[in-house]
Amino acid sequence: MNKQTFLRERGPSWKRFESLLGRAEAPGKPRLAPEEVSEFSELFRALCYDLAQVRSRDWSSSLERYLNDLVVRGHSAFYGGRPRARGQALRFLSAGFPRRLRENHAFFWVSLALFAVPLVVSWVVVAMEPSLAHRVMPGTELYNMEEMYSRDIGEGERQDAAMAGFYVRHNTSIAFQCFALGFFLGIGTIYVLLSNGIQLGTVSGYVIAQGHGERFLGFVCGHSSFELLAIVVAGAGGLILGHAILAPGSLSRVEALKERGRVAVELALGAAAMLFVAAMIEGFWSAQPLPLGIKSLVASILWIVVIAYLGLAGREGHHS
Amino acid sequence: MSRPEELSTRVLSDQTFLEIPENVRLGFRLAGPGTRLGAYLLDLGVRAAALYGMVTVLSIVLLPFATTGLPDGVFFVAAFVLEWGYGCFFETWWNGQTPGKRAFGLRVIKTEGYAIGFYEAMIRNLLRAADFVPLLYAAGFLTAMANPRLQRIGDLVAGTMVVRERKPVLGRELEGLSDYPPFPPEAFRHRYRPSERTLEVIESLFRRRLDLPPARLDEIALILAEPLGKKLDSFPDRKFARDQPAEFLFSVLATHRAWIENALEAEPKPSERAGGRRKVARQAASFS
Repeated sequence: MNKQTFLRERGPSWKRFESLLGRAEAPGKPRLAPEEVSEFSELFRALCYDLAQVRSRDWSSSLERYLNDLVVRGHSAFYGGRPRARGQALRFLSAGFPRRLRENHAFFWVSLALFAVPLVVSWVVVAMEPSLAHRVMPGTELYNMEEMYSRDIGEGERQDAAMAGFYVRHNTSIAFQCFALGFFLGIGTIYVLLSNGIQLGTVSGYVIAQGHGERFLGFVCGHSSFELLAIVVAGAGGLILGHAILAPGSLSRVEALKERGRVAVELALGAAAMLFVAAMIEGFWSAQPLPLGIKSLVASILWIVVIAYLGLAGREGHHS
Repeated sequence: MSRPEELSTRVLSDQTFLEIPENVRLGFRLAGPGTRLGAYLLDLGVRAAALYGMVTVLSIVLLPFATTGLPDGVFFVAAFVLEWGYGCFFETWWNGQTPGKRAFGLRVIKTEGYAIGFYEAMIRNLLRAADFVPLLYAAGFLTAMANPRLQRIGDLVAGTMVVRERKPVLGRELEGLSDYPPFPPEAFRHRYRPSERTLEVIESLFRRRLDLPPARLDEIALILAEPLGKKLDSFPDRKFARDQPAEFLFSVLATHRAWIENALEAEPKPSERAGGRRKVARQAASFS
């Protein structure tokens, strides 16, 4: 068989395959009818054979490229498809994410320790000796913090929506960075957790020592639950990445990364959702001029809610 | 031990191969850092334009709510979503392409050759933060240079790679080839027909003809025009081959390339043999 007769005989079925492929690839509902699927599979196998034949006869590289690319697309369409379930996002948040976190609780506790221990230590130390705060943060920043909490926010200057939006961007970016930098053997994540813990503890200790404790706690307690735990969760995701490289087990490091990366990114996504809630609270609730008693009551409820969510949501047996 | 040629493709090639269940080895052309940077910059521009447009619209539409800070709040959220979600959104819904990637003919696929989904897109875009370290994607660049599939960190974790796509076209139209008059079949001795490989070489030269200075073009063409010219029958034709080697080669190409475009059409040219034509016509009818 020479190339010309080959092209003439096989060409029409390639064209047919191309048109089926175009429809199989198109997003949206009307895909292929059942009998078209079996036709597709038949044509695909024949196409693979044609490609092998063209290669073995060294006919032409443009023909080889054409068939190669057609097989590439066919392969992806035939084997790569996966059903897209509706309501996945909701199911992920209501069950998948907390479940995933509990499966990897060791990383969560390590991350919590890396964040909470420096927070508490620096808080206590700075509370006892406020001048130490200047060793951690530049004076101007401390001054701004103090200034911020030294007076009530006037009714006219409150920009709740702007602040909420700012927190969504700022905090979630930090959480994503905390997660992604875990790739570097977990070191990036550990650094972000430690430094954020230290800074938060320092600011808290310093502002309270300056006598603005009531206003400060009233502001931060409301969103603290969602925000702090979200950072810890993102940190757990980052530690999973680092762990996959350090201790890949029986897999290669790249394989381990791929397998664990999926888990890790689910934690990062869950953390992002938590930070969104935190930002809404921070923007619209935290600055409300209400007595500390009410604020701490609401804060306690929110802590219970978030702990119950992470600890209990999506348990086996509760859904079926 | 890998054989020398395998080794060399691993080090130098911009291709990666994949064996599929049908026992065929598929080749993928990988996207290099240059095109990926181009696509990235274009996406950056699109993002900036989107943000700018949003600011303009928001400042007008949300003017009544300015005192509550709503326009600023929406702006921050939009900026955040564009920063972290742009790539993920487009790569999920456009099957591995962002506007920039589409413009440069790039696509993200899984290393197994399949289309990517939401999680792959999410992972590779979140991990940009790791690729960026310490600045300007240095870590990502070094990682990509160090592995055979040119994967940056995000690609490694997501199990994806960026490939250059071509639209599969059979017998691509060679624009401008009709300017060169084909030889009649009897111009060559014994109806000599150059091999496919030779025609491929001429074709690639033809595609580059406008990028090369004319003198250099002729210089390259002469290498092939000399032996080919000897297959010609008449003296003026041989002189033509020697004096204008590039034009001669393109005429040879025009002589032998024309049929490829027509080979797949339902109605072959009348000059083709009748038996073959009827067969094709019938086949084409049964398929359409």
